[in-house]
Amino acid sequence: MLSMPSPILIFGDKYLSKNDIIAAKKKYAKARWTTKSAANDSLNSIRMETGVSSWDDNEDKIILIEDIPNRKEVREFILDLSVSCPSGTKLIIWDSNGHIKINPKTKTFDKTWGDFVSAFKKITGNKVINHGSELTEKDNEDSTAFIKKLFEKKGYTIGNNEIRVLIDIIGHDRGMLSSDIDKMCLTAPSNITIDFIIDNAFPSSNEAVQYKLANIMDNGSYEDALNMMDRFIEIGTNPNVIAEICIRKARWQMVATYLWVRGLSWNEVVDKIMEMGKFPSSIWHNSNFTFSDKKAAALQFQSPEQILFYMTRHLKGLPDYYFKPSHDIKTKKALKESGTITRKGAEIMPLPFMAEQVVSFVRDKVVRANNISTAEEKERLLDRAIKVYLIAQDKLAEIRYGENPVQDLQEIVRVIMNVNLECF
Amino acid sequence: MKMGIRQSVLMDALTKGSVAAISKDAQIDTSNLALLIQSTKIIADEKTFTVESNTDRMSVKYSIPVTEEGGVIVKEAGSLLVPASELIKWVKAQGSDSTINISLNKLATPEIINTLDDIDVSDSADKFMIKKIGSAILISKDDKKVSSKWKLDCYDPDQVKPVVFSSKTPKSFNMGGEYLEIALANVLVATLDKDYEHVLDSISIQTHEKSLYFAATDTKRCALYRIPPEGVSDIESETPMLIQAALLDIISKIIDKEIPLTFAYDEETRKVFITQKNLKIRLASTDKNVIDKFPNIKMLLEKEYKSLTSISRGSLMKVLITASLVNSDSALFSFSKEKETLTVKTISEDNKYDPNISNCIAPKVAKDVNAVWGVTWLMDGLKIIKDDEINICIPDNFKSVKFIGNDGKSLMYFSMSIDNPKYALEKE
Repeated sequence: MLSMPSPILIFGDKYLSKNDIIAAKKKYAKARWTTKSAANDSLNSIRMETGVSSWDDNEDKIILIEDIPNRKEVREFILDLSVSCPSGTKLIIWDSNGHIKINPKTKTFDKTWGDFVSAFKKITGNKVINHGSELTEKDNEDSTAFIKKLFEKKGYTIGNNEIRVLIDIIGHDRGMLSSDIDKMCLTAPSNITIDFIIDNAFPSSNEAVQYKLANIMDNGSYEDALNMMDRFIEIGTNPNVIAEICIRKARWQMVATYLWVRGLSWNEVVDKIMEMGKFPSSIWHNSNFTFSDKKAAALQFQSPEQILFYMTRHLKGLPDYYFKPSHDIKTKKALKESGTITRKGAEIMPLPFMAEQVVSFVRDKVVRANNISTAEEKERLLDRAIKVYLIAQDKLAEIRYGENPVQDLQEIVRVIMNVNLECF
Repeated sequence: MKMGIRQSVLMDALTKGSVAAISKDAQIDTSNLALLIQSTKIIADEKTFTVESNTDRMSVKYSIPVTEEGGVIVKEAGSLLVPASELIKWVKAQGSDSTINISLNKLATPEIINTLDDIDVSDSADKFMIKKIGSAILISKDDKKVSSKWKLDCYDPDQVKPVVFSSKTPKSFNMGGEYLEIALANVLVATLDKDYEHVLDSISIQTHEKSLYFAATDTKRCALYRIPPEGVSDIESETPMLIQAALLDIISKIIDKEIPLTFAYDEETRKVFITQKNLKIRLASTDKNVIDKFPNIKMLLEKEYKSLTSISRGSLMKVLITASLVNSDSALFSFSKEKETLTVKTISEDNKYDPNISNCIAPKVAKDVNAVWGVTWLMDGLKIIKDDEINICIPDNFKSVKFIGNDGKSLMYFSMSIDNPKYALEKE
């Protein structure tokens, strides 16, 4: 029999609650999970599902009841079901509609749901998980306590000023804060400093999507990636943006795969990816230079004048009159408006750790997992990378013109995370 | 290509060979290859006329010899790839006494159909483009000189991989053609409409003590049909098969019921092959670890069920229908040995209705029994067991109930018991 407590009541922040459920599904993957909606399924059918015997006497059963409507008879039914649930069946009640929340003024539950929680707490074996309601700018104390607790849980200390900076960058969303703190704790010093936060906290922008979603995908958890994707869509991120990020991810993986198949070591692949798209290419692709030499040499050719100089003097062959003289341009905006010489932005890897992420996914999750060594296996590996990229691109078109972008996004994530070469 | 064919022969060939192209899978496909997936391939040479179609889950190939007596004349060999649904509708409209002439009007240069308009696909052009090689000209004429002429787009048949049916796949068993439909009619009731793992929306074909069984379950009930011994021969493999019910259902409608079927299973490619004279079918199956998730029927067949009573099917159905008005998911079934009755009590969870109590005669009840069973599940059982008397059997632990008909061996329907404390007081 499962060691899991039962019944469990989960409420509060939706992202954190869903994370708990995903974690439980992973932990108790061998049990038979059934999800029922208290709003759409009849109470009779929920009772039946909870009580029905199984063909296999040893099978564990977990019933997840979500979507609880604000109806007296449903609350009473859930309490009755929680008391009388058969011993072989575990029950999780998730307030996915967010009815159970603390009134910010009175700092207490409203009476109806407060009574429900109190009655639930009296049931033998119960466990109540409160992820807290949405934080707002007014709830500075709550936000501070929430962040402090998350850091302390992982053995780190953080001061109030640092917390304020963190909230300024990330915002008040509990899910986003939790996800970012998880990530920061991977490299954080024991005492969190403002410099560290500024360097490592990602504002809730496309950059955050790119990092967070990519990070989860690199860890190889499909469910977690979908949960994070839902979260971004919920806070208004356009599916196109997410799809383009996923495609970039697939493209980088394809490049890393190609470079490794061509014979580069994993470290060399990381360096090579970091050089990708950088100007001038004749410097960055010069194998006689070290990385720092390349960086120093490339720095001399970044302004429009320097680029012109590079093209007419270093490349030897482009005469000066090929370039139209223009007025002095200082800002990026002015460059754009004037339409004069500007280098088309090639795709570059923004930060070294992202290159590391891409390479570690290809190395650990694909190459090592499939034990790839022969030339034929390497060919199949490359074939997978190309197909993943093409399928993801195909899906992007469907996201733009189709009717179900979320499903298409899920399929992109699924194909990128499919490391089974047999499937390609 | 140039050929003439009798409408009835062509219609029969299209109904069978194009089944994959006109299946729901193909018809709702919105990918850039949808035009190819929804098309049927027609190949004619001096010896054979073949119609084939395929999707990722199903491939079908129907071939007949080219003879004048058989209604097929091929003047020029060749192949076509034409939209299946449109072709079938046109052929159907021509009437069975018509003769249909089919020819290909080839374009000098194939026309490229870009299925992703407005998108720059220059880097991977071939992947997104379909080649139209010309038009299939269709002319029909019947004995009363009613004629019709139509043309359909013809795509490059080489863009669709030929369906290969390996002759090396070891045979599993032979089965009479009529039994597939009968077996499905008896077990489909217990499948789920959709299961993402394709276990509970599939039919399991298993053997037990040299008998062949078709089984379906949604974990709460299980329907088991044994193919009569005279309908099965040459059981050469006991490896269980798991095939999506929706696919088998389609196949059961195109096979010839008079001709035996041969089943084969390729464990490596996870494909099931069903062959009949002129007809070859390949269906997608699944991994062994998924197949193993389907309960072994041995567990049910070897479990001891003792006869409780036999009830008139009509009486039991009436009681169940009445009970379902209050709660279709569970009801308390009380069998009284002394009174020889069955009492069914239903309580509504949300107190929407007052409890309902219905009774019927249950002759020769073996012992007093109180158990909670699913009302609709039992009603489903009665839909497939059509005998006048329903034998109700239970195991010692009361965890399930078995319905059998007069025969008792060919069709069994199991339903699980429910632990519903609302009825506990009633039991006491």
